[in-house]
Amino acid sequence: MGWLRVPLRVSPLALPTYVATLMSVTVSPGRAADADQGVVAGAAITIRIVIADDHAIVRRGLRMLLDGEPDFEVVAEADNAEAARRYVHGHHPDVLVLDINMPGGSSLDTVPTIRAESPDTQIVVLTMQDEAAYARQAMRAGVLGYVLKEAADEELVEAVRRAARGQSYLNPKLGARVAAEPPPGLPDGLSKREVEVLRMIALGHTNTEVAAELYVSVRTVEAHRAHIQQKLMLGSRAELVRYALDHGLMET
Amino acid sequence: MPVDPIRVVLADNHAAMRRSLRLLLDGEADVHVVAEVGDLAAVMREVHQHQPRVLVLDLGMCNGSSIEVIGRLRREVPGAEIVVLTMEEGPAFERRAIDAGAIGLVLKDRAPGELAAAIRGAAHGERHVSADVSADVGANRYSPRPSAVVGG
Repeated sequence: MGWLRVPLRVSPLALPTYVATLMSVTVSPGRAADADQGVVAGAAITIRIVIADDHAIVRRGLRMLLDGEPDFEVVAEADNAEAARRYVHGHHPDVLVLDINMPGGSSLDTVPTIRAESPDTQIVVLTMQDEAAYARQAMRAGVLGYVLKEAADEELVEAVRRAARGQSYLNPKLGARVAAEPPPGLPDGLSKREVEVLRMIALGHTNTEVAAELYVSVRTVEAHRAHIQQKLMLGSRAELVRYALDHGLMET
Repeated sequence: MPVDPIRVVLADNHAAMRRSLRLLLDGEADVHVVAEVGDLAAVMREVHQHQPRVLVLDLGMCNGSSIEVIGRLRREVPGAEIVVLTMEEGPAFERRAIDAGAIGLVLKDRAPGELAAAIRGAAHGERHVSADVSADVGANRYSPRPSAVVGG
């Protein structure tokens, strides 16, 4: 580019812009990213957030994390799930950051109501539960973001941003596990062996056949079966078959 | 005479919580956070490496194995006193933490008012237990230092 003569007063940092001006190229900062992620051009739109956690000191930390983003605004803080629902109903924020483990039952139970009352509000949950089954359950309940508390400092901001755009966020490690499952780690705390037994029962095998197949005694199979029925709170074989079908246990 | 700040390792696996605590402690001139950690393996590593005067440890970390860590650290790094942060782990668990050798027990929501004092106390070998907890745990049984006195 021998023809390009750069005036001395143009700093090296300004060089790309200067070159672009010379070459009449329109530079739109962040355009590639916009096209990729669907951000509204100009990016001056504020993402309004309600946070819900039962501990004031955690809320303070969350606020610090979120207020660090110039385009985020925390509009309300709730200390229980019911208050979260009310505040969301009143403020219609873009995103609700919800601690899943607040006293008075799982906050997940409130999710469908919140989604119904304020469909434009997306929900990001914060949780200690790093099990794929919980993540799946939360996503099914209508949650868009699933962030582990231990990773909140790296992941929460991105999860909120994505949620505001209607995109989901799942901790990557967890996402990999969700994709890899089922069978191990079914939602109801079945062991691997119990899953095997359940699958064979659902496929129509008798206890004796299962025992022979797994090289265990019939009594062991009966015990497994009792545990499975207890854990799943299901009685009949038909119910077990339905459960196995619903959870994709019959496929492999 | 200027006093050296109390060197502290801060361990909590909830990132937002840790941030809050860090900010809180950074406001104390006589407290110096030398490391922040989010899992128990890192707790062991950093306490061994930094030999702090006080470890602030989230009791809820890693489903209870924090109790074992308390015992181990008391044996391996006896110069480091342990102040445990608790949410709703319950009296039995909290008592186990004290039995295992923790000198302080602070409710997380009380941390803004109490944590710095608990750290200072710990640095002087003095017990600090949040009021709400002490009623449950029966902390009066624990003064001034536990292990031998505790029957269970």
